[in-house]
Amino acid sequence: MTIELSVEQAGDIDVIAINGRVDSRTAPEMGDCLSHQIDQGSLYLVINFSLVDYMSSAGLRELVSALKRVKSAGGDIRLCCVPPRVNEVLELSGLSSIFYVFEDQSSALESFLA
Amino acid sequence: MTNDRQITKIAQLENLPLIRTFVKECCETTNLDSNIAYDLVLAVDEICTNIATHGYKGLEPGPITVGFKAREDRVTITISDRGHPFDPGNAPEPNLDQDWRKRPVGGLGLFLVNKIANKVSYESSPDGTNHLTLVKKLPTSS
Repeated sequence: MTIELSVEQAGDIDVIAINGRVDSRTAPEMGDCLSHQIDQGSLYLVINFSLVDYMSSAGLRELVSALKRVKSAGGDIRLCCVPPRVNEVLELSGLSSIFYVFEDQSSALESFLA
Repeated sequence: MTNDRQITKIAQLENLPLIRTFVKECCETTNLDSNIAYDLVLAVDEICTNIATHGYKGLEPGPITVGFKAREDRVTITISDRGHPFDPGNAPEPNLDQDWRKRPVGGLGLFLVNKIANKVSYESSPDGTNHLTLVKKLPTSS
């Protein structure tokens, strides 16, 4: 069981779309993808969760780890299109206070221009 | 409403999707609310991930047995393993009031379990088996 990850550029912003279930087996793939983009110098990332129907704390760990890296360098990660149940996990774990979450991708992209 | 079932798998990450499917099916056959079912699948996944990654550390991976018992007012899930003793009640609670700089990267799994379940209790039997019990109260239908 794997997840699919795609990366697109929108100016200086990387848009990373995830498709699949983010669990203890697949979260490292997501983490590797985020690390790769950050290693390449990306500071502004939008992660699109529209095709993620499940995320456990293994995924949260990768998100927090990546957030710390980009924020330390002056960047940020914005989340968008988060399904209600995944959003509930973000809220239960207290991460909704350190991640900006947007309803759609364009709003997340525009937030970096504000 | 009665539904007593159990599954036993070797504590390896590749077996966790089978355990998640088991819990999901148990919830479906007892017509549990889908949000409660989602939360229970997540809670069991978090505990089994801990067992698979830490519980048998340094040991040959052994069994995880997940038991599911549904009654009118509650679901009781027991998770048993023969790895190192670990009481999740002793795990430090992450401080979520801190800003991103001080936020812990991990430690959220058991925190989620404690948020989801109404009661979490741990017991070690004399033969060395660990038993973790989660109780989730169900909304009463009127």
